[in-house]
Amino acid sequence: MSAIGMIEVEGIAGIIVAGDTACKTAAVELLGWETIGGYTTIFFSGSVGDVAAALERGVEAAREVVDHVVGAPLNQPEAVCRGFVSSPIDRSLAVAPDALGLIEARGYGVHVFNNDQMVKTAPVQVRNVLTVHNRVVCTLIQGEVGAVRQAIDTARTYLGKNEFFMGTAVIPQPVPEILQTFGAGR
Amino acid sequence: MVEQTRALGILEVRGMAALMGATDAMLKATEVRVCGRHAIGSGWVTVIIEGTVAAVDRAMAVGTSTAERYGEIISAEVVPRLEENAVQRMPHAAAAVTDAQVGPGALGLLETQGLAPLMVGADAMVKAAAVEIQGWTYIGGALSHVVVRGDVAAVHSAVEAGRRSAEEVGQVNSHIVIPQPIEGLAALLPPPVAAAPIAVGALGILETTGYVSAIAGSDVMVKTSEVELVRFSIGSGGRVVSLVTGALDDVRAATAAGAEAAAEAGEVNGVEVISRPDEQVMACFGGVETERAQDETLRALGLIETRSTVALVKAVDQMLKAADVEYEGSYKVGYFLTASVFRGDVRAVKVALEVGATTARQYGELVSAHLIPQPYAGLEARLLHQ
Repeated sequence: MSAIGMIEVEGIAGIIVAGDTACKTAAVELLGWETIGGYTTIFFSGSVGDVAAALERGVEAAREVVDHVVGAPLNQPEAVCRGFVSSPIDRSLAVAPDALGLIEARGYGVHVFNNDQMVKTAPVQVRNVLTVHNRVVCTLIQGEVGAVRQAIDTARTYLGKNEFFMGTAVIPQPVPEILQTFGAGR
Repeated sequence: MVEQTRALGILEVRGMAALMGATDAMLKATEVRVCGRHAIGSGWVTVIIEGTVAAVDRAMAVGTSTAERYGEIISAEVVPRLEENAVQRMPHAAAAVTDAQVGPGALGLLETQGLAPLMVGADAMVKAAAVEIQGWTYIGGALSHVVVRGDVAAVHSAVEAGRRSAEEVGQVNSHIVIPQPIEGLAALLPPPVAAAPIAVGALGILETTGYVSAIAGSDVMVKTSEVELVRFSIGSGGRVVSLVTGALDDVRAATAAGAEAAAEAGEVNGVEVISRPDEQVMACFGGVETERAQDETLRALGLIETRSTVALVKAVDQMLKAADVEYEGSYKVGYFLTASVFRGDVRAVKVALEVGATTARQYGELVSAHLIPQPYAGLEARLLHQ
């Protein structure tokens, strides 16, 4: 593994999409993620060429979710650079092969209400709710892809009117590693 | 029965005074209990109550009207019939389980923007009336609050005195007196003060945004006069506070010089001197750590701070490649700020910092790149990074 790729976004949905895309684009392995209170960064490693390809597509994918996206490679990285990954991937976490839905908004209260609404309108499971400070909260749901889309529609109807709404994303077939990285266990 | 058809009430506000006042009012109004709380930074705090639909509805009406008086409501929702699996993975429930007790007497809360005004306010509170400091904490966005306890009249005059003093030196976000707090409020109280009261001379407070300017300022403070660095304290919203003690003149000289140095390295948010801080205030904010690291290395210190992980890691990688410096550790201040610390001889650190600053600017915002050629030994034991 001679290179590390890093992609940083505002919030958290962007790096989930970026990490999934990176893994699907080239032979890279996720290392984990890190937050500094507002911005989050996902780290992956591979050969210099694989990391470069994964970075390019990962950054593109993240830009469809959020505005603030920064990507950079570390070629032949110094050993201490790996120490910046504060949330390593939990490879023992059992995950479901279902589609993944992401709902991101500022505020916690709206997520409690919205999660209840989603679960009532479609057969989806709330897998995890992540807060990265600076008020950003992201809910991860899973289910059959149609159900996830239906739940996201519900969320957009309710949250879309809210000034604190940030965005949604659907990943029809997430790589298992990305679910393990963000604690989306069964 | 209530378990099967429970309704939830969700109230999210900005500021702890509003949350505490609203929660107290809700719990007193009807048969509801607190089943969760969560803070997500920037001062946004949520309390979640449960009960029958009618009880939750009534409580929320009372709660929102109380919250409006003390702060800003972010959201208020009622879930009449909760789908349990919608919330079982949410993080709010853990925080509500507490052994803490509200205890006797009235509660008073003072909430400020930044820690310097809070300390000045707390000192004024305990000096103005017979109240006891319960504790302090922060909820993001540089909002911090301190809670005092005593009889109703004492708490009223303490909070009033604290508000006035804090306003003179900074911004007060909110304040509240709860004459007879209800037991369920315990889940919202800050952790109790662990340290014993301690008498010191004067107290100097230097509040900065970012880790690097705090270290730069503290190094100059301890070098300027006979003061001792008590501790670094993290506020929120990227704030770091350094506290020094000593004789009043020494503390004055130190804070003045320290503020200047900190401003060169970053941003200064507050500089205050409390000439004779109350013992309780020192126990609450000063903490007491007596152990010291002995074998200090006095090699040059290189500090770099950014508002981006990518920029920082990229800079660290390039710095280690460019010069013979040793990576000592990193510290995340929060609110987008993150810093790394290096050691080496002065010239190597200087080269590394130049490379690091150039690299960091390419990927994100560089906050500080600062060199301390001969760091003062007293500083070493108090540093926060590992």
